[in-house]
Amino acid sequence: MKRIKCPRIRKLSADRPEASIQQAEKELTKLQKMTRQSTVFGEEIEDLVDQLRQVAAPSSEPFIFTSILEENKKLLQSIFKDCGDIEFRNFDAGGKSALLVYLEGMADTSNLERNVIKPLMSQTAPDNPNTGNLSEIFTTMKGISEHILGASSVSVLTKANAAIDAVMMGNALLLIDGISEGLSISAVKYVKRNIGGANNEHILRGPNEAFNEGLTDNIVLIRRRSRDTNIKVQILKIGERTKTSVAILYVANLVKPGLVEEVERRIKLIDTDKVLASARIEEFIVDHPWSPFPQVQTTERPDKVLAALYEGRVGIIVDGTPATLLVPCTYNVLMQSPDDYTIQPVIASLIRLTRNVTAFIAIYLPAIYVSVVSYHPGMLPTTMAISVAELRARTPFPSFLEAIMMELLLEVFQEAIVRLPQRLSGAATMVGAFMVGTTIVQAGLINPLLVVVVAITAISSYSMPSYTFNLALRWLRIPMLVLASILGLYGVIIGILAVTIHACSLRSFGESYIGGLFDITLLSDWKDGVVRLPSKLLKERPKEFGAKDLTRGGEEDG
Amino acid sequence: MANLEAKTSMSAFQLAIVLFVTCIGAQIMLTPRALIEQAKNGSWISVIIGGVLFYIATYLMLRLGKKYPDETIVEYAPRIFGRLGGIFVIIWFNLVFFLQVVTIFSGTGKIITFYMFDRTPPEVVILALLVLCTYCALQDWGTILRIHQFLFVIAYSILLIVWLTSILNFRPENLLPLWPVDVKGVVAGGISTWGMYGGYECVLLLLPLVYRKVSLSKLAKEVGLAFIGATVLFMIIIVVIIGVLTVEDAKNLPFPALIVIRSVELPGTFIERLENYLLVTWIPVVFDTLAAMMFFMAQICMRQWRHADHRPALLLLVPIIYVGSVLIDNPQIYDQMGKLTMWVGLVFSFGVVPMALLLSWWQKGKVGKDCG
Repeated sequence: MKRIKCPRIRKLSADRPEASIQQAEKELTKLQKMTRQSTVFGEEIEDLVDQLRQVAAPSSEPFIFTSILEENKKLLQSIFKDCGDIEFRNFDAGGKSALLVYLEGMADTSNLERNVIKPLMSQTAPDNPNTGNLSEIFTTMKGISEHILGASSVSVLTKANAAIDAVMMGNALLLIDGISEGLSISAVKYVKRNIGGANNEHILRGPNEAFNEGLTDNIVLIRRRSRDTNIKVQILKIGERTKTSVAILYVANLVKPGLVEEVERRIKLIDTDKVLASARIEEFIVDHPWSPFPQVQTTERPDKVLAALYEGRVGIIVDGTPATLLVPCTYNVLMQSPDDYTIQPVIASLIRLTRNVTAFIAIYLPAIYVSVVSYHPGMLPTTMAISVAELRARTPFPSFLEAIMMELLLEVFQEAIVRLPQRLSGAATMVGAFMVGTTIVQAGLINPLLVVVVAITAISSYSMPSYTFNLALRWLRIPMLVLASILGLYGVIIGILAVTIHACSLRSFGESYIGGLFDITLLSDWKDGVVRLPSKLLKERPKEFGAKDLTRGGEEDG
Repeated sequence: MANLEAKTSMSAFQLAIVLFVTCIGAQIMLTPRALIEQAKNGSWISVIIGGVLFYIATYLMLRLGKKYPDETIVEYAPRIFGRLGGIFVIIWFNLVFFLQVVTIFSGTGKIITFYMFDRTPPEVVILALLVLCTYCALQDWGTILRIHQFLFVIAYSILLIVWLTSILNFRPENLLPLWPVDVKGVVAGGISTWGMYGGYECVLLLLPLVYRKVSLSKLAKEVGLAFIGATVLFMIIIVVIIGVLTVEDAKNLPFPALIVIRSVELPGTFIERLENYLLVTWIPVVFDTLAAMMFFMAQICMRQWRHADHRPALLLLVPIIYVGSVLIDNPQIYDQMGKLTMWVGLVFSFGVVPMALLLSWWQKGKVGKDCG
């Protein structure tokens, strides 16, 4: 058996002199020297940055923060001059002067006391030998926020504009002497309306929660209903002065490619000083602002928003408004109500068909009446034609004028009922009903048949699920009446076709307003469009919104 | 703006719908008298002959169009016929639409004033319809396509329902003899049904919009369906007119279809004077034909003048159409215009198009030979 000869084990430094302890010590000393030098460089760079900040503020900023607290305070006081609700709270933090700026009533003072003022004041002076590395912590806001403060959400601010915005949003701004940065501490708390029921979209069964005026509350109402991480929220600030928060919501793996970008682009293009309501945004982002038809769906119901998001649409929530916008918007979605999904499909389908018929009646019935009575009485049965002629003989005005007067009266009553205090609106309704229903007819001013026609028209328009669509129908009656009075039934047909052309030409974020209804390629959308099939059969999302995934996968999110 | 709407293309079925609504227009009210006068009891056979004949013409157009898949006739005609010949063909093509449009406007104005507003001048009626058609033709093709589909579902179904009420007065014995004695008249009637089917020439403009993957056979099938639908509708109209009025009465009445529907009585119902209902449902049918043809005319001009937008051309054409429609102010001129339109259309369909097809085959064969 061959014997293996083992080599003798020697020190590594014997073979490699650079691995010796002495050499390592030398290298370590070199490294320590370099670290010391880099610290000095760092301090010098910091001084340089501070010096650079002493130069005049750029045109977009009102001022720049300095490392002297008193100067910063004076600058802020000049910005918030005559703002009595801005609180400046001075205190001592780790031996340095500190200042907390916040908006009285918008910031949670007990939260600030507990998580900001108390921890900071409890720090002893940095020259105290027991405090260890406290002096290092108090050199940057980042260090303070990481080691001392107990606030949940903070951000370091270097720009004055951002600091002012933070204060105006209800956050607290912390400034410390010797640090030329500010720290925004989230402590927003203000008086707001509680989550209540929907005021304008009542349903018989189903959820009753509705949005309020708070953006975060509204987003929570949607998040609470779905644990889907694909629901994305982008927040933008719109309005030169109000800087209103606008949230864009969508389902990332469903929304049509390009749609979110387009919504974002249009919102960013809004050039206005104030955004107080979502309707303001709506007017800016629609394709045809002169059209009477609503091209954006408005809702105050979170369940409706969620259902729309799962159809591949985009929601826009505006801070301070319970009315949320949904795009794209088509005639089909405006004719749907959440109640359609809580009743039997057969009944829901019948109701939807009825709504379509009533939409037609709401626009054209008075015009058809005027045209038939004025130009084509022969179309009526003889007995009815005679009785209509008899009734008309008693009234002094031509049928067109009668109809216009009635429409005006109706509009006046509607406006009065909307504007009056709730207790008085009942009285106004009584006066209207009594006056129009009885007195005007008895006085022989208006033909009773016309009263019936206008009443049917009004009730038809009230049956629309969307109030803005109802307004559009009301508006369209007048041009239709004019056409009927000039060209009779021919004029009515011309009017119907003109409205059809207009509605087909309208686009809401690329989708045809009414064209999809009879588009041969979109006929499968009828399953949850003109009619509603049972949920078991609604396995596909509507094609018309171009969702990336058309299969619902068994979900019932309609 | 991001292009969210890629809907300028259409399917073969949508092309068939466009063809159907473009073909069926005013002529369902205007033509029957002349056809019945010519073909008598064999009018229904003439309608079938016409259907087959003009389907063949359309098929030839489809073959021609498929040879130049991304172009309309305006682009490839100069390559086939030479520069001047191409311009001549394009003008001829536009003339086919122009003559149809002015004839339809004139005829519609007369019918509506005759039955709905006896004291209103036809010019007013024409003007109102012209404004409406212009508004429609000013839109993009996507919008017009949607309007066509909308009216295809709504207007045609209502029109058919109203028309079928006249079955109440239908007497089958009036159709006898079913087989024509006058074969020559029936064949001539078949040719003269061009007025009914006219409008199919639009395929030469629309073919590039149809999805490229659609084969010629699929297109031929779908277009065939459109022709079957139109033929059935025309047959229903002609057969009911003869069945209600008899040939002798129908050929002496200016608008027999309206007399047929006027005679219908629905006792115990709310509805009387059904001719008004028929006219009301017929106006959208006329409108979509006119709007489409005006759009095609503007498109031809736009492509010929190398413009990016068809609207200036359309606005230029509107006064010419109005003047043309108003100038046809008596029945003799109207008949002459009808005949002229028919021959212009027939020569285009059975002269120009087959010649273009032959020339394109010959040119392609020549190129193949030259290339070795």
